[in-house]
Amino acid sequence: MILAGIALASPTPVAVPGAGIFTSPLILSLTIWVPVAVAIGMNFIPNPRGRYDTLMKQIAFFTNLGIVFVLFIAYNQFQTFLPGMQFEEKLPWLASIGVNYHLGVDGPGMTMEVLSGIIGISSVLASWGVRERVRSYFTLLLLLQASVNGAIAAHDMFVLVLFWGAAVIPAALLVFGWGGPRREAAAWRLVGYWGLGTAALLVAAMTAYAASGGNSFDMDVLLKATLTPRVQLAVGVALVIAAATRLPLFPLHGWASHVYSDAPLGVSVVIAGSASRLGAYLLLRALVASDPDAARLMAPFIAILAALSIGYAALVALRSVDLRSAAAHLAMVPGGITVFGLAALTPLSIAGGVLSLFTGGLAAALIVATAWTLTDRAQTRSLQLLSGLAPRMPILTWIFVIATLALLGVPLMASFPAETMILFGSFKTQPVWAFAVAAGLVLTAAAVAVITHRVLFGEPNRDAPPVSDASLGESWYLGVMAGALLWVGLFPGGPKLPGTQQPIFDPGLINIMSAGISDIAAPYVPPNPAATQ
Amino acid sequence: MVLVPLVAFVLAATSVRTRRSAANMAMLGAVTTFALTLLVAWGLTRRSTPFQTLYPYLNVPVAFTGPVNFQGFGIDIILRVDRLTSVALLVVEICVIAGIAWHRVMGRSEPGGARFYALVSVLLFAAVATLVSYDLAELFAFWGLAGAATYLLLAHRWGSMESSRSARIALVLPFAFDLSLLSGIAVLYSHYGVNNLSNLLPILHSTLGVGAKSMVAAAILLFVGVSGRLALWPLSLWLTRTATTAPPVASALAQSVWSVVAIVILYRFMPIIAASNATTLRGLVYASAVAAVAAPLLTLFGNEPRRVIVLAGSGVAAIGVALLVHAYQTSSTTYAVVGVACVLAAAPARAAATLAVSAIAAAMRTDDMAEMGNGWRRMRVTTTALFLSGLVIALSSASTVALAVGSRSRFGLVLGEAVLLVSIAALRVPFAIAIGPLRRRRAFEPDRVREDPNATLSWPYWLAAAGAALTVASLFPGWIGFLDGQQHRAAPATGLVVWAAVAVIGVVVVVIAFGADKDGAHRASALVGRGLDRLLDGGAAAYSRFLSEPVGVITVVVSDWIPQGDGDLARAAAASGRLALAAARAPAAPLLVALAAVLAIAVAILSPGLFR
Amino acid sequence: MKNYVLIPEALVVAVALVLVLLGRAPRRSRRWAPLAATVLVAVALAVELWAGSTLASYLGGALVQDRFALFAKTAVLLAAGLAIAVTDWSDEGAPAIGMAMILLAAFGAMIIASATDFVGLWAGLELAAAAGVVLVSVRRTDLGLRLLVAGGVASALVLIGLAFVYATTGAADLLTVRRAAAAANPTLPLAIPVLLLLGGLAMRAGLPPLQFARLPVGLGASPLGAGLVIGLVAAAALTVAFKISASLLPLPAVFSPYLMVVAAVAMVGGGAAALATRSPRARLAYLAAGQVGWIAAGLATHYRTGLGASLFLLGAFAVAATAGPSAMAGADVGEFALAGMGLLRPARAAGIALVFLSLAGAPPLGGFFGEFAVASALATSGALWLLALGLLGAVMSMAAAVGTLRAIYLQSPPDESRRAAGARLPVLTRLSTGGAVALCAVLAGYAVFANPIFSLADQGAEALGLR
Repeated sequence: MILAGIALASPTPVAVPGAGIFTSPLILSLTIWVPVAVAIGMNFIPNPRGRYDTLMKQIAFFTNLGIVFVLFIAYNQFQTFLPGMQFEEKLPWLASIGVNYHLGVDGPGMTMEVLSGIIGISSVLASWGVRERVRSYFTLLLLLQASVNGAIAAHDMFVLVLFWGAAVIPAALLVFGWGGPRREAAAWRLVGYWGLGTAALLVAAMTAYAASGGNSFDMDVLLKATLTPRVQLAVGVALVIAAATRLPLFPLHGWASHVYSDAPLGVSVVIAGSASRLGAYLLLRALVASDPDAARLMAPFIAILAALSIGYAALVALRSVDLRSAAAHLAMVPGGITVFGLAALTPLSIAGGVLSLFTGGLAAALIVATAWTLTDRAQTRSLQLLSGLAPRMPILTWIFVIATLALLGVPLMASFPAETMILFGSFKTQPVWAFAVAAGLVLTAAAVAVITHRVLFGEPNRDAPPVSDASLGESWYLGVMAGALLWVGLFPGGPKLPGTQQPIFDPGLINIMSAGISDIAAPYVPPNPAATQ
Repeated sequence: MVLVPLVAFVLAATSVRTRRSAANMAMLGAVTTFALTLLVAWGLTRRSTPFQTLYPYLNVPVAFTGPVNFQGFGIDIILRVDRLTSVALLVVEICVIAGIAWHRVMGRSEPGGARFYALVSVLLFAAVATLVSYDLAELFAFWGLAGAATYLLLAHRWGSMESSRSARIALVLPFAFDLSLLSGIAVLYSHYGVNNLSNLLPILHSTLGVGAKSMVAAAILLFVGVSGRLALWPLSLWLTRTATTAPPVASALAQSVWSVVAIVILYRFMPIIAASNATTLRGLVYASAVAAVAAPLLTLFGNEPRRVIVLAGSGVAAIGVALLVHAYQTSSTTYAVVGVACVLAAAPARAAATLAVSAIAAAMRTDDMAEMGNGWRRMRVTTTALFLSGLVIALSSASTVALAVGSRSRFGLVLGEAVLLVSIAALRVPFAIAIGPLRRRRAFEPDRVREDPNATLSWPYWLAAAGAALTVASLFPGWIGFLDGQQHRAAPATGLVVWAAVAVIGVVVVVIAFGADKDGAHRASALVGRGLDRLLDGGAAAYSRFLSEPVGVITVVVSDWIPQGDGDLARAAAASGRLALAAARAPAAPLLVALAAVLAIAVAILSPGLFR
Repeated sequence: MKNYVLIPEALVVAVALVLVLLGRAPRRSRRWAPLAATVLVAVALAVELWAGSTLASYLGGALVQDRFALFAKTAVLLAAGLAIAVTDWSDEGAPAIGMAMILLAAFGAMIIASATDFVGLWAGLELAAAAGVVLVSVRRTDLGLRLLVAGGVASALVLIGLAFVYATTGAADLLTVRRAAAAANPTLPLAIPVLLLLGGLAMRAGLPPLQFARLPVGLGASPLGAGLVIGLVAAAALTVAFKISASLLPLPAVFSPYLMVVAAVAMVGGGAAALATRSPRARLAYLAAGQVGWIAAGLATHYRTGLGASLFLLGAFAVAATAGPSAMAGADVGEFALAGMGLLRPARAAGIALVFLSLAGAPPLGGFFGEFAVASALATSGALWLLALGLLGAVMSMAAAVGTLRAIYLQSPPDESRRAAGARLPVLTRLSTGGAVALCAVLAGYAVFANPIFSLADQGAEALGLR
């Protein structure tokens, strides 16, 4: 009777009113090709001696605003509880080898699109201070955003590889051109690691393609093909390498601290916020959702990688003497949590992992960006010099605290439900590593406490250079990300009309996200003990 | 009731700048919450069923097949107030109100006043929310929030390195136990798929596929998780280490608020813990009995008054836990609530004692009882408050033990020792301060020692009085019945006498010891205390040498090695490229000659075959 | 319609001859020559696209017009036209001769595309190579000589190989060779000549480790000469390799292993060398060598999709490798010559950037599409080890391309003293700008319209007799 009661209490699919009224076969393409077109178009505008630099910034901003608007429509029109892809586009591209221009998003994809939209607008605002070669900068930034959007929407392995690899060049050039003092090392590492990841992804795609008969690269065919466990394992290993270079995961994280420390602010935001999340998204799409045997076989190893990444990142952050480097390592933590959720292979942990894609992206971007702005405003990165800044930069203090709370997944932050779902979902399948991940979070808390103590609430350092608080623009771009974290943390299911379950204008990220998860998680549903008795 | 402190925090954090207005804001929030709780408690005297309300926070479907309770995941904000909870809330709120009021005057020299009061509001919010939570995820969330606020309060003196070092222990240690609590909750969820405590309890034994091992694991994890915040020995380290380095109010709240919250949550978890097996319960009873004896026993090692108060309180908490678990072990669950009543009664007294001792230590400029004295003449009011609170701490355990345990059982004997030691510990401090000379020291003039400003005098009194009231109330079956809604028989008069006598013996022992040779007693304590300190220092050194440092070194080596490794790889790639360049620049003529030779040999070899 | 099919060849030869004669005319009257040549090549291309779909055979079947011929001829015409258009003629010693040689080389490649027997293949290849020698000698006689000697050896290898194949199979036309191969078994007497033949072609195509002649020459020649040697001649040699492989397809054992080895060395060596060098033209040459390796790898798969993918990639390669050096103009002096090009010559800079990205196989350009298609063929044929090596080379190539893009767009222009040292900016003309824009459009369009182009390449592979 009690179980019956629980059954009645369990969620039943309820369509969000107003969804599915408008749909367009171009929505996803718009998010990819509009930035590309604008990036190319910007270069035809005459800009003698940077006279129209501000115009370039405005163009980039309004392009992103337009994308956010398009995504808002897509988000609102997205039909929750509808399995399979929505807003699909399919055109033959290399028909002879089975390549199609195939785009589509399900719940997790839509979640990533929303993340990319928020990160996009934040990155442009974060780049407002760029003074040199403004046109080139925003051209490359738009190309980077376009490639990230493309990789999210891709539903054909060729398209995925194309956009996955295409992100490398603008990202590297941005670091080369506008990075900090050690930009050379950062950019070459980015090219090396991401290039290796692209190669690994291509190997995975080709292996699966060959093993599935060499008919099509369409994910519907390629990832649903029945492959022998050995092939699945080979594909899985390649996918994990690709994902580990992107997220990054220990030990393929060599680029992260350099890039997050020395890349220009806006680029750090995009890379930490959305581009790097593609690693976990790839694991979800191509391993968890497609190769259950390989996923089961590799789950413990991926879980170990995740736990190691979290623990290692926290320990390095604890011992770091450079705030940006510490923040860069802390930004690895959400990725580890997400991947662990996927590796636990229970419906709940996978759902948590998907939500963590969003929350982790925002948290990582926020911690990196806040550390960047704070060190910029304090004119030093050294944790020996940075001390007692809270009274002198209250806005940055608040945002830094929000970022750290989001990292730790405390209540009221969007990362709280995500981490709860991951940990609650993982204790049955990966108890040891779940405990290790949780212990890693405690270490992260210690690192955060030590850094916060030193930087914000310690005794003010008389020898440190003069500091100033965040400007209006900086407050805005940080506020957008912090606001998104708080909004989803407060209303994961969207704000409801008082006394009803009817959402007002936001159907709720958790509802959008859950569309398609039941399909992805179907192979991992535990057997019903009642049935097995 | 739950939101008011949060609103106070938000207002304090966003708009308040001055210390005074922050204190007023926090006080307003606490007092309003207190008034609302009184209203709820009054309502509960009129009805037997608890007040409950539910707000769905998260509800996500994750599967449409498999076990029905794993098809979706939900976190509901369930606010449930029964009589026990309402009393616990009142105790917590009294402690917080007293703390705020005391800090207004005595904490003037503390840094970041506004931040301190904001954090107190957060602690109150989280503690109240934890007490009324009936959803396990919700409960842990607020538990964690309260933990974070407690750490920030204990680490409030950021400027002092010693404070931040000891606060780090207050971060890592309790969070590790919170981790155990989280794991316990997660293990439960992973087997039952239910977060709502009301739904979970009925299906504890009727759910298929849940093994005894899982239940034992969950029980132990939950118990350890709660014990960490209850500061049962040896998990009390985070309180003893911060007793002198943290602001007094922070320490007082950490002791009182957490003991109340944790014991009530443990009481709520007991059916789950009891569902494991008899061996586990026995083990837990032994563990808590050992803690109950060890904690007060350790107060005799050393002369630090605030540490003694912490350990005495920890002893009382352990006695309460032992009573609680023992009741379930012997299936006489009607006495389970007695353990809770014991801790509830001691909580305000612990806060009062901490505040009073802190005031006296500040006035006498020492944290060594051997250097204290003459308090009865110079700081009579505070010393009296301290004496009262010590008495309450000693008797709170005695009175409740009398209700639940026979003095002749083995368990009774162990608890008897615990009560005796607690009373010695609790009364040792006021006696040490009250009597004997206050000697002149360098840069210290005893004649300057005087009472605190009048504004703060009443608060330790009020707290001690509240503790006393609760202690006296716990002698009456009606009160115990009010707490758990069951019928109880009165404590036998002989039992009461026996247990009160145990406590009184403790007092007498202290009086005799200090009366005979106060300095000698302190010297003896200092001597064994130094031994204990050496032991602890050795442990810390071993931890640092064998765990902390090696891990740090490995981290540094790896973090240096990885960039060096990928750099080497890049250099190797470049070197291979230079090889290719060299090959391209190879002189053409010799290569052509060699090629021609190869060609000739090839033709020579092939020609017969070709012309055949 | 059949009579129109040879118009492009006729037009190209005619223009080449006129230009040779024009070499003696006064310089002022030659100003319009590049524009005229470009326009005429465009006309030839248009006619090829219009009439080239007709299937026809000439000279008793010695030359045929099929889909393969259509694809290959279109590619070389595009490459030649774009090279002429983007060249900075002020930097060329003998513009008329340069244009003529490019067109003659294109004509040679067109003959190869249509040839059905060994003679046609050899003649076309020699014509293309000879044009290269002449053009290189205009600026550097020593390099011309080196190319001549090495080319002679290559030619000897090809001839001996062809002769031995003829001796073994008893036929000189590709169709009969194919029939004979179908009936024969793979033997050493056949394998050795094929090795010699492919060795000669590898020398012509500048495939490592036999690039010792072509690459240094490519680095020392004028931009147009470099484009001709690195791009067009290599494309011609590869076209011959296509036809030979197709005719020996029933006996893959006699050529596939060689091609795999050569491809592996080329893909990895090319990428690594491109990463190691800093001279833009050397980098381009090595990237091109790497891409030639991919084409060879596609041939080594010895089945239709693989050859189709290689042919598709050959088109992208021919355009990028032929027009690339001309677009870079005087960049052979060093990387600093390209510094700030994005600011000073945006169209040309974009052309150079796309050329590098395409040759490096970086997404989303024709090179990437082609290499991806070859990779899929390698995977389905089970040559995953070769694919892995190729990807290693591709990663290094991409890194190398990023290095050059960085110089073009992120570095400041060099000061006047360095300009005087040889880093002269290309002269800005309408034709060169239009040519650069057209080059960008072609390289980008190759990806956007990959579907029709790839299906034409696939039909080309089918026309070679693959099913």
